Amino acid sequence: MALLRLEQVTASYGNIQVLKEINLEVNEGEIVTLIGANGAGKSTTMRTIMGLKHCDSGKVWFGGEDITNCDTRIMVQKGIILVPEGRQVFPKFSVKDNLVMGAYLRPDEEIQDSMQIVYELFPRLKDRKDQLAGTLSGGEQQMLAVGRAMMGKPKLLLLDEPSLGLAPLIINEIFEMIQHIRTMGTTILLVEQNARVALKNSNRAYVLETGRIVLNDAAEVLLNSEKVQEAYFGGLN
Amino acid sequence: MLLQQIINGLTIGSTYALVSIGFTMVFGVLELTNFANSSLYMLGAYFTLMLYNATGHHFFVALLMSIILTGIAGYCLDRFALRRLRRKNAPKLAGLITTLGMSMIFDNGIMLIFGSESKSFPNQIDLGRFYIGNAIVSWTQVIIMVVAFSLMAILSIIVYGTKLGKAMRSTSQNVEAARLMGININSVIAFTFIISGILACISGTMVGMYYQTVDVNMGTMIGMKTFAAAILGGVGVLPGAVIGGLIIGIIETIAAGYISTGYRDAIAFTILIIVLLFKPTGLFGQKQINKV
Ligand SMILES: Nc1ncnc2c1ncn2[C@@H]1O[C@H](COP(=O)(O)OP(=O)(O)OP(=O)(O)O)[C@@H](O)[C@H]1O
Ligand SMILES: [Mg+2]
Repeated sequence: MALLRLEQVTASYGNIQVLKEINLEVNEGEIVTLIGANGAGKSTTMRTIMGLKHCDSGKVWFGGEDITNCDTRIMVQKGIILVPEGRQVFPKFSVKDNLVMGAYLRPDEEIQDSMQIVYELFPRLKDRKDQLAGTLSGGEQQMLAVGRAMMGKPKLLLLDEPSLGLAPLIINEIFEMIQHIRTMGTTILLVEQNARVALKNSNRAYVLETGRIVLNDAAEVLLNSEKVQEAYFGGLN
Repeated sequence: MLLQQIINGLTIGSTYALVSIGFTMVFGVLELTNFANSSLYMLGAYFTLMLYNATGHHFFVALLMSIILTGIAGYCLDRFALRRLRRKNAPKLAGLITTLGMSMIFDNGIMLIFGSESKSFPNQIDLGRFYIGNAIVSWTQVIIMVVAFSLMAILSIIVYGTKLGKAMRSTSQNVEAARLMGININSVIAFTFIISGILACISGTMVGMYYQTVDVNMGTMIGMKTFAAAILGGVGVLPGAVIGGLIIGIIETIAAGYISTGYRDAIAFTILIIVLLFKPTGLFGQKQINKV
């Protein structure tokens, strides 16, 4: 049974449909990537899973439970955590306070342990634990955003463009970290513009075009598919 | 003479500060200018008066019930007028107009029930007065300041020292990120409105006691002052609202004492404008750190 399943999910802004009968599955232990051009509906898909955006029809299942249009708090409680597009850290809180916020729904006595785990994952955050998050560099903010999400002990981690605006070297670092998080037992659904890197690092992928899933296969297959190469791998290899 | 003005100014300023805190908290969390905040102040004073008479002159019982009722009024303002707008993603201006409308509803409701003439208000805890040098200090003034500063202390403990306070501060920085942490945004907002109602009620009651009179326009008067106080201190910054309220109170009484009572508001606002010219974010306001 899939950990997450979207069944014919449709969502719209005003009377413009931005998600059209999306079917998508993420199995436990997988890294699944969602690729697509700007405006294809990737972020909207993530937001719909989180209950930040309500869908007009269709169902969202998590671990066999119907969670369609539930409150975001319920999603977090059940173990779905989103690292939103553009990081969205709390700029006036220190790194440490940001991490504490990530464990908002968890018992206080578990916070220290989780914080240790996050600091091991991102030693750089530990060095800067008292710095205001708003003064971190883009890459550090991304690490903080992911670290903060990990503080919630997600079963399913949703990452919306974690490499946005980062230098190639840091992008590799981010993907290493994603792999590492998977080995810790967290399932990952990833949205990426860097289709090539993303596909190399995932099990399966979906291709979204103007709100519709047009391709869906093992990452390896899509990596070698001419259609995908043409549309999503900018420039020469 | 100056000492006397400062004492009087601190007294009235601390009541401005209380109302201003509520105003600035709502602004901090929602980026909403709550015009109805000052109506809650008037409402609170009237509730206390009404309950004082209804309970056969039990002041503290009346005050307690009034606090609860005004807190509920604050809650209802959000729950029934503003929450719907948020859910529908209405523009900020719609919320602003709604609070203006609610303010008129509150004011006119009270006018319908009590009439527009001012009512005399009992000073139940009139314990006389004493001298500092040749300045006269009444115990009412002492009580007002003690109550106001204790409330401010309690509030800063809540905001800066509790989990709920942390939830409020995260919501004010980034609503969506706060939601993604699992924070119940609607409860945070409801709590903020309840607190602002309670503060307004206590402030309104104390001012009623101080002047021994209340009238329907008392809200409108203080509305401008608290608005100014919040902006002077830096909107959304709690200590800013306190300092802003105190400064406005002191300037106003000094202006009234040394220049003319008629110019007190004009002078207070002139100073506000001058401060803003030099520091547009207010005394304690910071420039918004990037939201990325
Ligand atoms: N709040 C909104 N109001 C109206 N339309 C919106 C809103 N948010 C997104 N849209 C529209 O929905 C469509 C899908 O947006 P979405 O953010 O999901 O795209 P995306 O695939 O994440 O794009 P990008 O790669 O640029 O992040 C776009 O056409 C966008 O204009
Ligand atoms: Mg997006």
